[in-house]
Amino acid sequence: MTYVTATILQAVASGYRYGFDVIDATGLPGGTVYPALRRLEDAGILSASWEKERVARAEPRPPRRYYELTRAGRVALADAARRYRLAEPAPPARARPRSSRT
Amino acid sequence: MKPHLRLIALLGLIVPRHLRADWRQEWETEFAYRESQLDAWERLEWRDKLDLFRRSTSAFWDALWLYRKRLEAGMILDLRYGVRMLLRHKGFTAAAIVTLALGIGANTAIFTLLDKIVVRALPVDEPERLATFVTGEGRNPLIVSYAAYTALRDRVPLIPAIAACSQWPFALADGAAADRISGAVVSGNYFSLLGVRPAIGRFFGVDDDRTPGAQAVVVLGHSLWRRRFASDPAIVGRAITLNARPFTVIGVTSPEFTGTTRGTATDIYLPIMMAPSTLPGFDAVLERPNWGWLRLIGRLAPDATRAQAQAALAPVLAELGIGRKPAAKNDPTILAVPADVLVLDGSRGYGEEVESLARPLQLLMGAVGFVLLIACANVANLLLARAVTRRQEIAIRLAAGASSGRILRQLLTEGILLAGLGGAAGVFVASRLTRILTGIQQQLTFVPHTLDGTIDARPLTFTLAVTVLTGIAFGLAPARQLLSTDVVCGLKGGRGGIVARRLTLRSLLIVGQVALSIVVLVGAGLCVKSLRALQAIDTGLQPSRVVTASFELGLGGYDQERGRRFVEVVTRRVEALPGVERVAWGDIVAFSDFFSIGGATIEGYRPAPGERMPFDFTTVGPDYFRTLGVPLASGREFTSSDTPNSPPVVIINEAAARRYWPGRDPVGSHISRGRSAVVIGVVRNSRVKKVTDEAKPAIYLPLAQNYSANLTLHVRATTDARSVLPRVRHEVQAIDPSLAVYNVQTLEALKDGSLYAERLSTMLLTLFGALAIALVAIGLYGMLSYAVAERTREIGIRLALGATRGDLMSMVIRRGLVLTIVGSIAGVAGALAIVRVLRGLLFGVSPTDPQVFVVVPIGLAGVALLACWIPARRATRLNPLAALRHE
Repeated sequence: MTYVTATILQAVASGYRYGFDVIDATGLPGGTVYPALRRLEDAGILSASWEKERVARAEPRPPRRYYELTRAGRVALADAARRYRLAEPAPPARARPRSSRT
Repeated sequence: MKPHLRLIALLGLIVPRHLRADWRQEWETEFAYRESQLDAWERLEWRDKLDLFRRSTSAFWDALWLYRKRLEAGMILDLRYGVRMLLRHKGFTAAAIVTLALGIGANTAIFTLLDKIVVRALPVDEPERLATFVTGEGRNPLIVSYAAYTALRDRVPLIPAIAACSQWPFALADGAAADRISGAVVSGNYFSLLGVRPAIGRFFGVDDDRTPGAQAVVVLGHSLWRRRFASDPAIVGRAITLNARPFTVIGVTSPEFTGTTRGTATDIYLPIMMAPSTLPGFDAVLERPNWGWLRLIGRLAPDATRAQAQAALAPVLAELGIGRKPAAKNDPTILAVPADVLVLDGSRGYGEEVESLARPLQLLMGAVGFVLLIACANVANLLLARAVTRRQEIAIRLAAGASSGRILRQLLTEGILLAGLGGAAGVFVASRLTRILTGIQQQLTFVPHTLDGTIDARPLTFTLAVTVLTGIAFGLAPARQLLSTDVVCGLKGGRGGIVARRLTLRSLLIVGQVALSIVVLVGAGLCVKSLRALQAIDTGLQPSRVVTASFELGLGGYDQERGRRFVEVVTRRVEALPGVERVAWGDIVAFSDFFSIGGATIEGYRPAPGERMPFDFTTVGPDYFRTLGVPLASGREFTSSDTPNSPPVVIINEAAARRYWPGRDPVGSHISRGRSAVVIGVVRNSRVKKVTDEAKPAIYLPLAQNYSANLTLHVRATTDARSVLPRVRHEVQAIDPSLAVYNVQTLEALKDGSLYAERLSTMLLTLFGALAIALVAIGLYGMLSYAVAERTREIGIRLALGATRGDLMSMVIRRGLVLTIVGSIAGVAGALAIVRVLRGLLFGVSPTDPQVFVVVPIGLAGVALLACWIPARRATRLNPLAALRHE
């Protein structure tokens, strides 16, 4: 597993479960993150599902697609963490992105 | 629509259809969420808008990644569809696969041997820096004594390393039975010079090759290790017996490295220092300065060219006393190295042993190439014919919106699928064929050579390339026709405007096939005539009903006394076998091309100045000539009364009698070769050496007075040789199981074996010729059947207008025959241009033999007529009413 893939997994494990959130958390370009998410999903390391309708309706917006680690994903991340000396997954600090409102 | 969402919608088109909706929703909701975090679109700063758009561009990479799945899905669909199409037309599929398997298989098999014997470099480090040494006009390999080798070894700085090797047969005893195997005695630097690595264990080095008889170590060839020791990983350190002497196995070569004689596999390697104690009669080989027995292979210095190396070698040769005649036979100051030594490219090792196969194999490669072309033309023809029935299907797909690229991919997939199946079956055919080719090879040579016919990565790559190319050709052939179909016309099931053009292409394919098969058939015809002429040669002996068995008593550790006892016991026991008429011994194997040649003086004959008097010397036992069916012209045969103590006697052949005693009977004259002997008989000439060689003057010596350790038993059976063969084999093996016996064969088989290269070419060319003619017949039949089906309506009209059935028949047959005749003319012209390459390979037949050039086209026309007749008859049986309604 490459360092970039491990970083993405680490981000998902830390609670960044949407594509854009992972992009923000890792600082990686979207062109890298999305294909990596697809590949990890194909490999059974991540699973993807649609957000609950109820949650989305409360916002209100259409449901988003979120990713989480499978059991194999957790094992793979543990391996990668040992190899790359990654920090413990930390929960996302739900910082809002920079707003144009002043 | 917002620009980033418009881009997502656009990029979504790349994503496979079944994933597209989800994909768009995922991206759109991400943007919606991000916008909800920012502000209403109208109030966003331009920088945030730009950021959103920039993010949407990364969807391109995501979509592109998913596009792969679309391709995969398409390919699986294409494959599934292709398999379904092939299964639906089982007859067509089977015909195409068998055709391709034979074409590709024959190509792979011949390429395998050709690659190893002619093309491939030795699997060693930097083979281009290797050099071999030859001498004389015939460019014979340079053979030197051990003293000359050591003198040369370190003297030429541009050739810093020279290794020596010598091939010999060995008897390998392991438990009860003994095998005759091919071995190489090599210098200690042989493996390090080549830069090869062992599969297991180690190789011996210079230190193992210093003291005579000290290091009884042996390296096994990979194939012997696999064959004889079942790839035993614990072989290193094990003791084996070679020529009745114990040796320790120290390593096994890698499977790729099979020695420095190309195309053959060496079974064992042992150090030069073990030669005196292991090779019979070689006790003094290291001390004798003029005993040439070693071949050399050198490695040039990194920047040296062969020309430079040769220039540097010349003064060294002069300094060593080369070219001077030795005063005495074993004059130690003169080393037996000829002065005219050439340094040649050694990257492919030595190849004289397999040189006779190189030309036939090149020829066969050309022939199988033609056969593959014919096979491809045939399959392309079949596919073109099938394209007609698929016109409607393709038109529907085009009308439903399939792009021509999509259809092309489908057709290519089908073509490659068909070729792939043909290629896979072809590898199977090739493995059988190489087994046959290496199985019937000549086993008679003095040093056994095992042809290496393993199909490894290179031939497989070749097969893969051929397969893919043929697959693409098949896919593209009908594609051009199908994609130019008028969709509306195709949908209606009509012919469109493509029939005429397609028929022209198919006719051209038939003409090409006929022409190519004429070339192959002419080649086959010439080889058949040549082989017949070879087999019809009167060898002067009667090989039918004779069985042979050869022994190398020296390799079994027999001295002269024990050897003579062995001969007596075998004679007595084999003579007592049922079905045996007579038994005799000789020191040569008939038709093996191995003879002892020497000079002799004839009392009363004064040679002209400079006249050379070479004789073939053969040592034979009593009854030899009667057993082989060679009649006596005068005098008597050797009998049991010719003993070591009786006066020395010899027998000569008619060639010697005619040359040295013209018009006189030589019986009673004397011949001297060291000691004088009386000529007691003259036998008729026989061609035991090589069937194509004219008989040369020969002297036969009695075995009782001239012991030889290399002996062949000849047994004449009362009825059938083959029925006696197993009994003889069993009897001689029972007498001493540890003695390797070889050439247990009928003399007929040995004679056939000596014509190995000729038989191989003839057999394969005939096989390929038959294949070519069958393919042409199938192609012609298929094309005319299709033409009749296409012209059903026209035939109906003709019938309605009063055409007779004879008219219709001649109309169809004429078409087929015109194509055959045009193809034959082209083929005969092509054959006349090409057969020149056969010169030198043919015996007793001219490359432009009129009989072959007449019979082949007529025979082909006969087959073509038959192939035309079936569809022609179908045309005459059409019901005019049904034919008129046909469309």
